[in-house]
Amino acid sequence: MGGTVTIVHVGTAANDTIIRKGLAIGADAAIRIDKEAIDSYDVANQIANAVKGEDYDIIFTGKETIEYNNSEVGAMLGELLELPFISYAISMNIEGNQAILIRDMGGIEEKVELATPMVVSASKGLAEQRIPNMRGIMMAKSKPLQVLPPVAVGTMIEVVKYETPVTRSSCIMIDPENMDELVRLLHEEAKVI
Amino acid sequence: MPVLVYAENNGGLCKKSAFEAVTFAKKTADLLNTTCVAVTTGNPSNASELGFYGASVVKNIDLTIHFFDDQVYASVVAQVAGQLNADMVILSHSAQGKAMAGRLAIKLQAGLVSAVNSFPILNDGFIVSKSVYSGKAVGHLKITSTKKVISVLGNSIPPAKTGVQAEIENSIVTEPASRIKVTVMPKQDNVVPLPEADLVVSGGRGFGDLKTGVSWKSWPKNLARQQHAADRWLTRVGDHIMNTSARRE
Repeated sequence: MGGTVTIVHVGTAANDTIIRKGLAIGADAAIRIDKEAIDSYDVANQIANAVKGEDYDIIFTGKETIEYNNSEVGAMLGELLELPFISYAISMNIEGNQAILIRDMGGIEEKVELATPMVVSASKGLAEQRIPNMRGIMMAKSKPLQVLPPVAVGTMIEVVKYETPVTRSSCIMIDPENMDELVRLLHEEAKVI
Repeated sequence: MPVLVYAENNGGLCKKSAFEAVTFAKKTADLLNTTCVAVTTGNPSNASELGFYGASVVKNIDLTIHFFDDQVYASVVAQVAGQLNADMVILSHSAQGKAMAGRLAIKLQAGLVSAVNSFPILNDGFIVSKSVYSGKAVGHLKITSTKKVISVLGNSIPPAKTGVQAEIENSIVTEPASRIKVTVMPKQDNVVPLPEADLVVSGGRGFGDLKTGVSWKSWPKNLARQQHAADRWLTRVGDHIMNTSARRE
């Protein structure tokens, strides 16, 4: 596309090291919205406010957070910015302003065509992760990292408490020579065959 | 104000995830002393069966598009929610549900909790639970807004038949123009998509006999086909198992 890449992050200065890593593997600039992220609604609103009015062709998000596995921010951004949203993209090709993506719809792959701008949540396969090299690390130090103040958003979700989950049953090891026992356990205990 | 549940269909048929979502919605409606209304698109052939799981009526929306577009779907479901004054919308935590839930939450200005795995508790507000931190903890979350959107984790709420066949009514809504075109939708007959699986057969890439060097790669696939289970290699399954209640054997 011949464009540039800007990292947008919601977080405190403690996360600048991670942002610089992104700059080291190729991003051109970064924006950090200076606040502790509360939830998806907060993050989506902060990002939408930061990028609204800018001329971005594609806004990439991750698939989900490792804390809550929510998969919410991409769809919220699509709605806030009134853009199409392609979830779980596993490949993408761009020709002019037309994009062709393959999305994973729960094990079924669909080919989607649309025009930019758009929001895309990236799934495994969309791009190969790169490791920053020394030149990239040195260059990242001089790339612009703009810090923006947050907007007031609020939250509609409160964490009441956390609990430890019920312990799973232990793994049963079966002698590889004893196939009869495997079949018996699958049949009588697991009840799957 | 009924509880509205979006019952998705695949190839014109409502599947287990839809029945799970309706079961969750019915139980929630009972707790709130109201009714459960299901909304479908494209008139699935078994839509009336949603009544067995608790839907008092099924509102069907006929769309001109024959593929899934979250922007269109979220818009029409939000319109039905508005027509019914529904404060709560329930979805499956499926590919469709994940793509729609965030949009719906913004449209309705609703608090959203995704991948809920148990019925709500109403003792001190509206509290739902879900698996967090990659399955290492259970989070209990209170939705403080009047409007609520909840997606239900697959295989966490067993479908329960509590009612009778539901009447199907057509809903009149404005369908926004789709901005995407889905050109290929390959059907995978006899293959259970991973998120819909009750049972997952998995094996590592090096799965085989070390002594002879014979690979057993086809063994999990064959077993999966026999048992109507999903089959995937471990890396992919690992991601999925964290997020569902599917059994891994």
